[in-house]
Amino acid sequence: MNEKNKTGKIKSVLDLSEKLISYLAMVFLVVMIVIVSFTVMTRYLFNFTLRWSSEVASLMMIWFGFLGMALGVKKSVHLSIEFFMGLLPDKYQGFIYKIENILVGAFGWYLFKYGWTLFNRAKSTVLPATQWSRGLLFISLPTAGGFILIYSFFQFIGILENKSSIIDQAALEEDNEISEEGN
Amino acid sequence: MDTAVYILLGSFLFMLFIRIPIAFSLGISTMFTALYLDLSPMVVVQQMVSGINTFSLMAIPFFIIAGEIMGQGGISDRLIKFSNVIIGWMRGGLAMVNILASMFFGGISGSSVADVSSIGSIMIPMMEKKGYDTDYSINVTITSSVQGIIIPPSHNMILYSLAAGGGISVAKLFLGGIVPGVLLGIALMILSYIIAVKRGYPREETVSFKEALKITRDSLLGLLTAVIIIGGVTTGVFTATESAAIASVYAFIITFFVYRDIPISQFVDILRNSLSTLAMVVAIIATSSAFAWMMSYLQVPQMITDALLGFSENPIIIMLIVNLILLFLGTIMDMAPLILIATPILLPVVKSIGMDPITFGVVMMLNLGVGLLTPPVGSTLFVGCSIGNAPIEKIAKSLMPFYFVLVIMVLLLSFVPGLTLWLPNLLTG
Repeated sequence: MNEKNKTGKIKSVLDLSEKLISYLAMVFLVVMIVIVSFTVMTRYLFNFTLRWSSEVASLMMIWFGFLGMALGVKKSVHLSIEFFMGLLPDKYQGFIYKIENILVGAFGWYLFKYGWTLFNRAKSTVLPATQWSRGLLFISLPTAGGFILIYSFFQFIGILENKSSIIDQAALEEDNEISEEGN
Repeated sequence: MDTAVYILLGSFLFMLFIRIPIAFSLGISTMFTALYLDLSPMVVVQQMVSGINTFSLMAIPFFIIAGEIMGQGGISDRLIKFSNVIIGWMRGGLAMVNILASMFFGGISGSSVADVSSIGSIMIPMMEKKGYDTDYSINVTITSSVQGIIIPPSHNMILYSLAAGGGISVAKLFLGGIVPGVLLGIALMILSYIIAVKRGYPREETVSFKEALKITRDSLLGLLTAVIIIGGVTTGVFTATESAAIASVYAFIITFFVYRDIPISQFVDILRNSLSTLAMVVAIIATSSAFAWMMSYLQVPQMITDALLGFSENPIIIMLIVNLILLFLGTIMDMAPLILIATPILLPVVKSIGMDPITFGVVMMLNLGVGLLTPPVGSTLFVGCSIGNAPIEKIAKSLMPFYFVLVIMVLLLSFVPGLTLWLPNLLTG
């Protein structure tokens, strides 16, 4: 029972991290839209351009992109070609998803390790318009890499759903619907 | 060098085969190759960053958001009523309305799946109720949704311009899609009309003048988005990215303060919906730019061009082969990753036979658009079938005449460059 509590706790922490990341990503998205359209307005109405606007928007885009990558791993929304493996019998499906977790985890580790090196190299230089540290840009890489690694690891050991369990659930629900219709 | 090419492409294809997400297959195969070549891993990571770090890329999330807001906010309903005023009186009126509404919707959203899920979920049940066969209703809905990819604004065109290295003007690409998009609509209308006459489908009743006026005003407000974007981009008032941001703001205002079909609280749901799509697209953009960099480092595009030209020097044959490759790849893979992977490889090939990059962009969109309608992987087909509650194999079979029209369009656009180049040359010089 204790074991179950523990995994439940880990899962809820990870779910919370997903929630926070997705809210952060949504905020970035909205702020990007506001900054860019605001710049157009000031350019035509007041004839001046904010020097920092495109720099800040690009910074957010990079954060948005890498956070989104990690989010996609957690939610299993990344596109893949399902067709060929779909032809295999069910008992192999779980095994193939484990391979996916290992490879994606390795990618996360790579992004974490070398993203961190890049961050260390860049942190003392500054972005031209805002004079912010360039490290602000590169720290998004190890952050995303770390989350990808963590999510893949917990999918591998079965604490988080990977795609196979999500598909199982959908199939189960579908079965229920069919049997309900049958009634 | 050759071994490196095998490692890159071999591991990529193998990972695709075993269902590793495309974004990671691209990244991991590049990673492996860099390890083999003893290149600094930092270069690979840096390439991923520079793939996202372009101002023009931001247009993609903005366009997707604008389309999503409009799609959820009741524009489809208005566009359908508006199309009905224009063309509902013809035989098979609802089919005509369906196609025309998709053409208009294409001027707001560049996504074929979004078109099917918003126009289709209204039109398919409506057509069935009026006695149209289910297969026909689905066929018309999903094939006409391909117009959206070609008719500007289309975020896929921006992907293409990015994948081509950014040297292709988005304004010209947008303009290049207008004539082919409208032509495709007309071709589909002709086919649907012939079938409608054969099967004796009904006409729609005409609407009173007063009603028609109100409907027109309502939908023109929404269609103004398209005018803002296309007008702004082609006249150079703002860049594609800026136009996309403005379009999102405009869509927000129209939906939540003018149409008011949905409460403003639903904006968060719309954002959350788009987030999944965007997470997946932007991830592929990042890793595919590392992959494309590695391909060009290994001179893969050059090798493929040489191989194809070694096979035949006849431009017609080469063009047919390129189309076949695109059609085939489109059946098993989704649009966005294919644009990002195939453009750097195939663009040099078609350039070597004298094809304009604008023409190729439109041809590629249509080819991959057909891929969305074909099994085994065809997201538009799947969505259409699930809305109409019909088996995929049955619909795919009934689509034959529609596939035929689409393939004719592909060939027409490939071999008559004037169709894609006339308008951009006329307006931008």
